[in-house]
Amino acid sequence: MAQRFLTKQELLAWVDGLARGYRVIGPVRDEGGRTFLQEIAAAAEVDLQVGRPVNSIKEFLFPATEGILHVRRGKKAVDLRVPDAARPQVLFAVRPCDAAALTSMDALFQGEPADLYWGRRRQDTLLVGLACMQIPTPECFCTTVGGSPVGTTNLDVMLYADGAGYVAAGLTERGAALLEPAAGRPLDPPFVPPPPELAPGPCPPAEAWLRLFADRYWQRLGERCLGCKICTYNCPTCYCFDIRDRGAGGEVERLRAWDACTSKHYSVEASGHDPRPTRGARLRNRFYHKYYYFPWRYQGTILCSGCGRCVAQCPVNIDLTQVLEDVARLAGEQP
Amino acid sequence: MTNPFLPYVGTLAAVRDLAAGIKLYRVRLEDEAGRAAFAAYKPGQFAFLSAFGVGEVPFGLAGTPARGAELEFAVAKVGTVTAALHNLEEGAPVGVRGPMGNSFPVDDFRGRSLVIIGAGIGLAPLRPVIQHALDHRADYGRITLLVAARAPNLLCFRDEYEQWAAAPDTEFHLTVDAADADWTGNVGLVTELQARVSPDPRNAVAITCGPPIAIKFITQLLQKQSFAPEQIYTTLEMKMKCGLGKCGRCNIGERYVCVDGPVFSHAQILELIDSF
Repeated sequence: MAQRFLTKQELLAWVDGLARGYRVIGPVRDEGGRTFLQEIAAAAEVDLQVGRPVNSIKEFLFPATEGILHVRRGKKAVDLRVPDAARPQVLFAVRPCDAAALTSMDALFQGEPADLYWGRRRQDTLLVGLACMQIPTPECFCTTVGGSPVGTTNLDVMLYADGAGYVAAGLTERGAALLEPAAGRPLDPPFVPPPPELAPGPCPPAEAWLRLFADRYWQRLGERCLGCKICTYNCPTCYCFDIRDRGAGGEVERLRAWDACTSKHYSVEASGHDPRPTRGARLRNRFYHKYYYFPWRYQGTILCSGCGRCVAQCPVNIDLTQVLEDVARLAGEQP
Repeated sequence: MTNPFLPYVGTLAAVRDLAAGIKLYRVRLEDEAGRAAFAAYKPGQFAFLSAFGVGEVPFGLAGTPARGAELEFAVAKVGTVTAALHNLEEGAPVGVRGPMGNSFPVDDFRGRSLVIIGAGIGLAPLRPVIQHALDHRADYGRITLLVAARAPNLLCFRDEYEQWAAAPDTEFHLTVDAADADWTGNVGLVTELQARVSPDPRNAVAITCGPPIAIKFITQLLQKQSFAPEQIYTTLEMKMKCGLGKCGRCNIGERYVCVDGPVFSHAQILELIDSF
């Protein structure tokens, strides 16, 4: 589809224009020097230098806490109402790993029975990507899980930084229409960006995971884990959720909220029985879910896009890429 | 688009004490969509029951559609939601989502003898199998029922035992771990009773439910009694939030209890990566 070259000024003017029709989400640097994805008021706020924002795009499609049901109850009757959809949004300057993560999230939420809340937000969201022309951070490992620093999966528009400006490529019909009002000059012939090199690390096959399930490795790893859950909250593919009611008297809201399988209370039953009673067992569940259970259920789709947030943010340096290497190595050593 | 998180509205049509701390709820579904959804649910399936304002939890459906359109749930007061349900009175509105999960393959069981072992409130999800077998008595061989509880006041569905025991070609056995002053029956663990009854494995299936520890030892003994893993069925429970295979909570290895179960043969359980 059509490409055009935009100066930074033209790009920001285009984003300001988008804000008239959409809620626009982009990376914004805070006073402490950390960049978060958040709703922007003006394009000038956007931090286009950041390699990887602290948070992922997950919360804009699957909010950390979301009302799924409004209940008005009386003694003898009850009235149930599903909250209305939010307004359409554009996710701007999305890195390819975050966009690629939507493939597994779609498999989960769009699969039968389809999730209304995810489905309508996904429908009302356009994604404008920002290609990684250099490998942004040392923790990046998208190529290990089949991604690419310039991958366009799930994007409507891709931006490639090029000298003094950006090449903008419309990738879908909706993306091309979104790009329509942008200034700049058409690129003909189209510009094909040279992808940066990122050598993939080992990604163990199902047999390796099967072989290593009972290994002491998980218990040892669990001894380091604090159970802080940051790896799950900022992960673009960790989706485990809780459902709770909030409210008193006649007005009640049923909420869906992020949960974490690494949490101590996650699977404790009312009887007190806990099928995963140790940090090692819980941590193992997280890694197995991503690399064995989810692919088993969804035709080989890995529940990880290699963004590296869990690696960068873990307070005790539990490193998923190291775990992948260890699993590959230890499984090879097993008789 | 249908929304699987939107419960059907129901009314508590009847509440009665089933055992100490356990109540039986009969729920009347108030709209056509709900009645249609539950018109033909199967023995072993489950549903979420909402106490609006507190939350919702899953329960095995304790009856069959053939015995009446109202849904039956055995609710032990153990957590916040079940405590809230225990506070509800007849006529109160509740929410119901379901039916969910697979079921006991009662059609495949036809022509075979049934050995049904229920411990404590674990009898509740087995009651639909008992009701189905008694309603289609000619389809099945000998029925052997073993019912157990920690104490006499924890025996569920006591008022139905006489009727079950009186069914043709059916034997009924009862035991409690510890007697009270009025108890004149068997005292001892369910496995002691099971050893004495020594059910015949030939052309039979065994179906069991109870606390995890009871299922474990009942299943071990069944195998000693020459039941093959393919002949043993159980229904598992894990903490659940959605019942749709989405919330990630009830997995045992790669399987979800909510959509791949709750009914599993022991052969299937042995294949789980994380068999407990």
